[in-house]
Amino acid sequence: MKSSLAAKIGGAMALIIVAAVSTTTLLNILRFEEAYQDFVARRLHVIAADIRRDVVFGLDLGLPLQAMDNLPDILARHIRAGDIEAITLRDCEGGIVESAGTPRHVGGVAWPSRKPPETWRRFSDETVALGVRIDNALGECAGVITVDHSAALYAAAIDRNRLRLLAAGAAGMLVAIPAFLLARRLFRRRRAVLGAIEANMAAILAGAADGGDGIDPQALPSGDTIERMVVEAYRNARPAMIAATASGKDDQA
Amino acid sequence: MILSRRALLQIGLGGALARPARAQGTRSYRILMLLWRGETPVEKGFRDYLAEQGMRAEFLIRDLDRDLSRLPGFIAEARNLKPDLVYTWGTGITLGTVGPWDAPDARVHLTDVPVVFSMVSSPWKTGIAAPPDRPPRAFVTGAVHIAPLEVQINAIRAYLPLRKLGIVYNRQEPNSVSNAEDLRALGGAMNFELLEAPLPTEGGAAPSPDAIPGAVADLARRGAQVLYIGPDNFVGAHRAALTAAGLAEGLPCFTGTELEIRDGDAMFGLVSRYDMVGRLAASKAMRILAEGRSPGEVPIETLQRFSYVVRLPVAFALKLYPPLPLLDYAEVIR
Amino acid sequence: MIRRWLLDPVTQCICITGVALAVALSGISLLSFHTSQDALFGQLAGKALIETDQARRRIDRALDLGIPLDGIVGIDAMFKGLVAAEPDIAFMVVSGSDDGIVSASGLSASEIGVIQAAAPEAMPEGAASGQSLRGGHLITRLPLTTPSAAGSHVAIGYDAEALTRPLRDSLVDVGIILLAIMLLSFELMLLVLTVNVVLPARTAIRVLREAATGRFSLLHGQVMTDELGRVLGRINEGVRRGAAKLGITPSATHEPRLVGVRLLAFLFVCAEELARPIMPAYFETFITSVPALGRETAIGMMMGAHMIMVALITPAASMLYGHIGRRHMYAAGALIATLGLLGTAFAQGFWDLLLWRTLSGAGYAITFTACQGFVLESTGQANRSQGVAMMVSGIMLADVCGPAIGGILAARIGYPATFVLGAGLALLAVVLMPRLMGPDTRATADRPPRITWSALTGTLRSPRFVALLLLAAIPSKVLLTGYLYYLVPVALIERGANAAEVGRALMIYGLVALVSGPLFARLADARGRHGLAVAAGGLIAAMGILPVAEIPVAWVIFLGIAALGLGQALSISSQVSVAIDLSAAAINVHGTGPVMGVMRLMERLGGSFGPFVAASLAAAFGTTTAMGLLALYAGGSAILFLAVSMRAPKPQPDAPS
Repeated sequence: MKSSLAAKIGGAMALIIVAAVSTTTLLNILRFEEAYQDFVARRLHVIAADIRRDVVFGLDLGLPLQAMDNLPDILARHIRAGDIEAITLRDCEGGIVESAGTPRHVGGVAWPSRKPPETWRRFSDETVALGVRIDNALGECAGVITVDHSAALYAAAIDRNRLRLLAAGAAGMLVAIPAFLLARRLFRRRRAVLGAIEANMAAILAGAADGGDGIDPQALPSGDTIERMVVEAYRNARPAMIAATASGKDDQA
Repeated sequence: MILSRRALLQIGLGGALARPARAQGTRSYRILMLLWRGETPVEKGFRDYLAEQGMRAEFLIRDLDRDLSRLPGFIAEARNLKPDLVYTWGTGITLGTVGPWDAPDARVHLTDVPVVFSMVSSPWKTGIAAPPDRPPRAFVTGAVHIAPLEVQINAIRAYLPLRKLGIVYNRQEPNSVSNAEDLRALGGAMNFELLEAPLPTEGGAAPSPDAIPGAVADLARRGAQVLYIGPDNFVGAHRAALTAAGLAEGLPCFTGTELEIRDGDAMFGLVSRYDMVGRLAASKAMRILAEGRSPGEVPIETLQRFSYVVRLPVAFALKLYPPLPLLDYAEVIR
Repeated sequence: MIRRWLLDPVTQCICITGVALAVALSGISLLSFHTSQDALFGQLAGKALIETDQARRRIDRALDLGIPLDGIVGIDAMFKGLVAAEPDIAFMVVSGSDDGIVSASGLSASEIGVIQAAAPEAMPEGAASGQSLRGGHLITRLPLTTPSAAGSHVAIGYDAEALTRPLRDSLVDVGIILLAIMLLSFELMLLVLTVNVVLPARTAIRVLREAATGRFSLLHGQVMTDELGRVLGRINEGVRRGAAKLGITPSATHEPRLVGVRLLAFLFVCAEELARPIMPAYFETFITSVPALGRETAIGMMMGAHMIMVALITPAASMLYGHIGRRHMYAAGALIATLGLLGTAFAQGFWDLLLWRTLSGAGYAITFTACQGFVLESTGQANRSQGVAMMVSGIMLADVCGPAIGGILAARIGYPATFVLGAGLALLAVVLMPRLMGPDTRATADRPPRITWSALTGTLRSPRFVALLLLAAIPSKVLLTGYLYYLVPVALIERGANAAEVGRALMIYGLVALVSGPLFARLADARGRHGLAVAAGGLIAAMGILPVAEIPVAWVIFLGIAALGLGQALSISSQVSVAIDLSAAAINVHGTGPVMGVMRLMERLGGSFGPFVAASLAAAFGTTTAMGLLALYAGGSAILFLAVSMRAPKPQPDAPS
């Protein structure tokens, strides 16, 4: 099976470039997703904290959650943003006290007899939500606010950007093509030299050696390169080779 | 280089404290309440809390009607009634019921029944509770209704800058003298100067309310920025005279107790709502009765949050508008 | 000689790869920077809207209470509260019905005026009405709703930098990754070219030169199917005929694939270095299970276990080398290291973790010895130093890439998974070994140095050699294990850094050493002042580390790490020369190898106490003071060494160097 040195080296180079670009693209995607999640969580936290401030104000006036008449307004204030699906105020056992939008789940916290964490966030395929706990003046849990971001819109934003980054990565991989071509060109020129040696040697082996070594001096790069050294060694060895094959022929004759 | 971006949003994982278990079962508890001036919002908060937690309780009310001499009789009665818990209102009744921490007298005081107090401003200083470095008393715990002095000074500073704090008090009341001492000491640490105007007392006689305007004017002359109303019975009784004098001198009054601002002309205060204090006391009663803890294991505490109250007409009269951040949490009385 | 070989085509290929990667990687990173920024904008705008609305509600409430707009107090305090939660908020402004500024916070009224007057820029989607992008700020402007303040507005300006900050914060990460990926790509390219072009061509030249003399005793031994392979086939045919005529059987030959040692050294060092940034923090979690030992002893044992095993196992492995051969030895070492790292990842308690760490150390020592043997067997006197340099460059590359990549990974995948990944690298080394190491060639007598008892006692009898050990070699290692491996991660984590940032910091050491090492080696060789170089290296490291005791901030720590890299690069290569000079007598008797073996053994034994000393100092005085104290120790040692070496007679001009 024949293979070409130019293709081999060019292929290896292309492969290395593709691998490097893929790794970088992957890291870019991961980095973006981390930053995006952080931004969404910060926004949800600002919403939850804003609501908590109002609820705490009511609690400190001595109002139980159930008696706060302005809760619907407080919650609805933030639902106007299109990607916020639901804002829910629950008691510490998970029972809904008031909600705006369409609450879909309990935020994944095991409620009974455990104090919910002060704040938490949950980013999964089905849920993009953040919760904060409300404490009363006694330091006891008084309720929990969860803010649900539309998981579909979140996933869509992530997917959209992922596609863009993948496209950028794919475009980046295209540089492998000129690199491959350049490398191949480089080795093609060498192939001319190697081909000349091969043909010359074949002629010697066939007993048809003429005076020259068949190597075009123009094709040889200047400087002290590896081809020059091979060619030089070949030129020096050529007479001995001719002698060896020629006398061998004599013996056979 | 070292980012704190992640620190901005902590993913809370801790705080998995056990909530007091809901009282279940049919057991009803008998709670003896020793009260100073009949039922107040404190007791309402106490009862509401227990009811919300699902605890059945029978309340035996004994009202001293502002007369401490009735206490021994009620204590004797308590020995026969054998209640599950005794609730006491205020420093006087509490101290009379449980005695000083280092020398309770089993013949005079209740020493083997859980006692939960409320409305005690300083249980440690009055000897109701053992000092912080000593083991706590086995049968006494309760709710403190005054914010720590430091917190009160910070509350003043949330409204206006404070360098000189004025105080008018009655030298004959030990509680007031020690309060002034505490403030003076705190001044060094918190960088303010305490200006004192003790009311003149001639020959052991009680001071005259007429002396109050002069004392306030004196403080104003010395550069006081805020008048502090402490736990002084005499000043408390004549709070109207004090706040009016303050208003005349352009001095706002700050208070740590609810009465002076709800029923007086103090401009602002950091106070515990009475029903909240009752609830806090009730949460301690819950832990003793429902969880079977010894009162010694249940810490004496004050509220986690206090109510910041601003009396807007006074603020307007003094042209001292409440700052914006304060409006987030202050209760504004119009 | 090698450089001449590398001039062409290797250099060209590396250049093409480098340019292509630089274009592609910076291009896609820039593109991702911009698209990500657009995607984040909507969320930022949404948050700014809520915050501005909050501010508006507060002001409306004050107005509602009857406070006049120009009498509202505490706007600055409210602004400070906003900034505390969100540092990217640049300013807040309240304007009256005539658009006159009532209050300005964050920036001066005139600065805000300039920003608000700037022409609006195009915004990505996600902004609400009332939001605009002007003068580098995202401005959200909302009208007050209280009737008494009709026409008044409140506006909050976000620095638009907020969008780029989370991405810019990780820009250093990107740079590190790009650097590491480029270095690894070059490494692979070099390997491909060397194996496919350079080595066959060199063999061909050897075969042709042999043929030119008419001897025909060498055949090209590498079977290849490309153009070069076909040429070689013809040449072999010619040689065979010539040999047949002479009546001899030519033997196949090929160049030893020494280049493989780079990757082999890289793999086994990288396996360990990946977890370097997380080691103190990870080990600390196991310390609590042994209260009897005391925290400092426990952490010292855990961190020192690896180094002490390297010190003890290396001589033992050298003795066994002749019996086992490099291939089996490398495979065994890499397998032991795999086991040790896997065990570290899943350790249950202190004692089994200690066992896994000693296994890792043993594996490291064994693979190191095998690589050393590979270099010695594949080189002659003429190209030995180049062979050693090849192995060292592999180790250096791992020192640079390992902690940096490991840190980034650890921050994402967790501590145990990072150790598992290290184990994976060690296992990869086992798999690649047959291709990279070539068959065992037992012909040569050059073996990894063995330490004999007489060499040990003979060497240690020289007081100057002992001075070098105690005042230069051991302090160097103590700084490495105590300062760099233990105190630096601990101090940075104390300051809120994550594993990725620790890894980046540790990388500074490798990077500085990588760049400055060859330079200093040449400089010291040219000047011949090795003793001075050793002392100067110690002093530079000490003086770089010392300031952190007074200025305990992150960038001073980075400075110390860089100084350590510089100092070690200056000192370590010269330490070898000084050791050879100082123990000329012992070398005459025992040879260079054993004498150097003694030095390595003793300095590693000393260095294994570094973490213990560092942990004890840190517990007593705090982390940064402990750094300062270690620096004082190293600096004092360097000065003493300078004094000792000044009094030493000049080395003999004919001493081996």
